[in-house]
This record gives sequence, structure tokens and C-alpha cells, in this order.
Amino acid sequence: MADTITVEVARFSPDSDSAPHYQSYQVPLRKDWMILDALNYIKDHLDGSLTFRWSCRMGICGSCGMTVNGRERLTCETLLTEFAPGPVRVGALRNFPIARDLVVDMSDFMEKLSMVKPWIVRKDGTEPVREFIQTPEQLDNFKQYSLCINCMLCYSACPVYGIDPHFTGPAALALAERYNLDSRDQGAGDRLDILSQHDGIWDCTVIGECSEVCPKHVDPSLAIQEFKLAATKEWYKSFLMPWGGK
Amino acid sequence: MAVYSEFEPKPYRQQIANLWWLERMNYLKFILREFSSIFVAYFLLVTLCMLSAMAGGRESYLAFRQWMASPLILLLNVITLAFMVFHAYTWTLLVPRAMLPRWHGKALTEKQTALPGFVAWGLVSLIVAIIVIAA
Repeated sequence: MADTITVEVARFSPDSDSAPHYQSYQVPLRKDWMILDALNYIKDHLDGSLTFRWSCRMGICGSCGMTVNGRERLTCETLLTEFAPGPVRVGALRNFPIARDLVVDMSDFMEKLSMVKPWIVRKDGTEPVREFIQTPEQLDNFKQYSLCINCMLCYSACPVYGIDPHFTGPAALALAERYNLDSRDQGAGDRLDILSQHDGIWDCTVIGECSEVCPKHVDPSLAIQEFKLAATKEWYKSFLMPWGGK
Repeated sequence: MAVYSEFEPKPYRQQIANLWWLERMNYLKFILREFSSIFVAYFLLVTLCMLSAMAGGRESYLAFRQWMASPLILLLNVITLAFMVFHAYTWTLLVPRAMLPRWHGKALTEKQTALPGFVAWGLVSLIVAIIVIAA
């Protein structure tokens, strides 16, 4: 195995560049190094101006999502040796505005996330006096959706979001479904009213790449189709029984 | 609307490539799946034409068969068959993308959810094959 590997990193400075370009660095090829280690090596030893996000280094915080050779990956759990002998290309996540180098602006997602009410909505107006009891089956119902770490790999992999940025998108919808399926929640109707609009769930064309790239094995594609089914049922119910009430 | 300043400069807006669907196998499969609908529509049209020819009597049915035997139509039908199989296959695979039913409290796996579709497809194909061979 060679001692070093060429890492091509996307660079963009809003002050001087009109578009991103790639810059090559020679990095030691160590068998226990992740792509994130290579980026940190570049920052510490070769070019201190390289800008990227990272935090936990264990696939939990969701900060270090980037594209590696064109595929969305968490760089803290992607081995450098997977791409030997190289070169390996590291770029920012797609579909988001690039603030600098590998850092994208996720404000659009944050707005959409709050729109889907990702919290437990209670309609009965009473304050609980003790914790809500939940059976293992009830937990199992929504557990996979609760594992989302907001790493944005799914938004980067979704061409629908790339073409139409109004689309609510995979992670926000998966998190909305996470609360819909929670036995303690009473806000499914509210969420459906917001999300059954065209840009909500109906823009999804079931390409399924969001579920493929998810590092936590959440299935946003399934969540969106479950939403579509619920919205269709509601529509038929309100059409066939207009006075039945919601 | 974001306001850009010296300390918050304007970001680079990424644009999706025109030929984005050639970038990944999954994207290409999706576009081909959507494209296959044209061949499904063509197949339905041919079936309707065949029914109409059959209703018109023996002469019209023979004329229809002769028309269908022309090399160009044969080629088109072979392509249509390939797309129809691809369409049916990918749509059956989409079932677990849209629902994962529960069995005795546990969600079925993707394979378990897709299986009944393939079994039903195989059974119907078998019945049609038996009818055609027996005739």
C-alpha cells in the first residue's frame, strides 16, 4: 500500500471565488484513518484555511456529512483506505448553498423542520401529572424515524429537492412521521394539513435514494409514502362524508 | 430573505445538472421506470386494437395479426416486453418503499413485503402460460 493518497477537496471562498474548485493535497494513507482525519490533517499541517464542520467523530452529531467521490457520506465513518490508491474527491453536500469550502447553509431545512411540528402535540389541554406510559410495541412503531441525526445526506441525495427547493424534503418528513406514529402525540391532523399540500409530500417521486444514503438506516421514503396514504384516506373520508367532521 | 454582509457573505448556489439522472444508477432506474409507462400505454393500445380486430371478425383479426408480424412492430414489441417486465419488476419492488405491514406486532422486512407481489405475478403468468399453451 502506498504511503500517501491524493485528496482533492472542494474549495470556495465567497470573497474571491465565483464557483467552487478542487485543490489537491497529499495525505498519509493510514489504515485506521477516516476521511475526516484526512481533512483534519490538511487543516493542521497543510492548509489552515480549509473550512468544514465536524464534532463527535462517532456518527452521532451529523455535522460532517459531505460528498466523497460524489456519494453522500458521514466523513467520520468513511475509511480513507476504501478509496486507495486514490485520488479521492471530497465536496460539500449537494443542493444546499455553499457558505465556504465544505460548509453548507442549512437554514432552509431548519425552517422546514419547525413547520412540521417535530414535537409532541397534545390537544386535551391538560398538563400531564406523570410520564406517559408506552409499550415496547408502541416505541417500535416510530423508533427508526427517531434515529435521524439531521446530517442532511438525504437532502443532498434527493434530486427532487435539487430541482424544487420548496419540497419539504426527506428528513423533515421522516421526523414528522416519527411524531405522528408516537402514541403520546395528538398532532397528526395538524401536520397532515400542512404537509398534504403539493410541496409537502406530493413532490416526492419515490426515487428512494434518501433511504439508501441514510447513515442511521432511517427510511424517509417510507415515511413519505405512509403520509401519502394517510392524506389519501383523509381526502376520501372528507369527500364521502363531508359532514362527518375530522 | 437572508441579508448578506461582510461577515455573512453571499453563498454559492449549487444547481442540479441537466443530466442529473445519469449520475447514479438509482436515478437512472427511476427515470427508466417512469419512461416505461409510455410502453405500458402502448401495450394497452395494442390490446384494445386487438380486441377491436377480434370483434370485427376473422378477416379483420387476420389483418391485425399480419400487421403485428411486420419486423418493425415485432422489434417495437420486443422493446415493449423488456420495458413491461422492468416496469412490473420495479413497481413490485416499490411496495416495501410505500408500506411495511406488521405481522404479530413486528414490521415485516422489505423482502417479506415484496414477496407476495412476485408470487402473484408468477402465478398469473403461469395461468396465462397454461391457457396459451393449451389453446
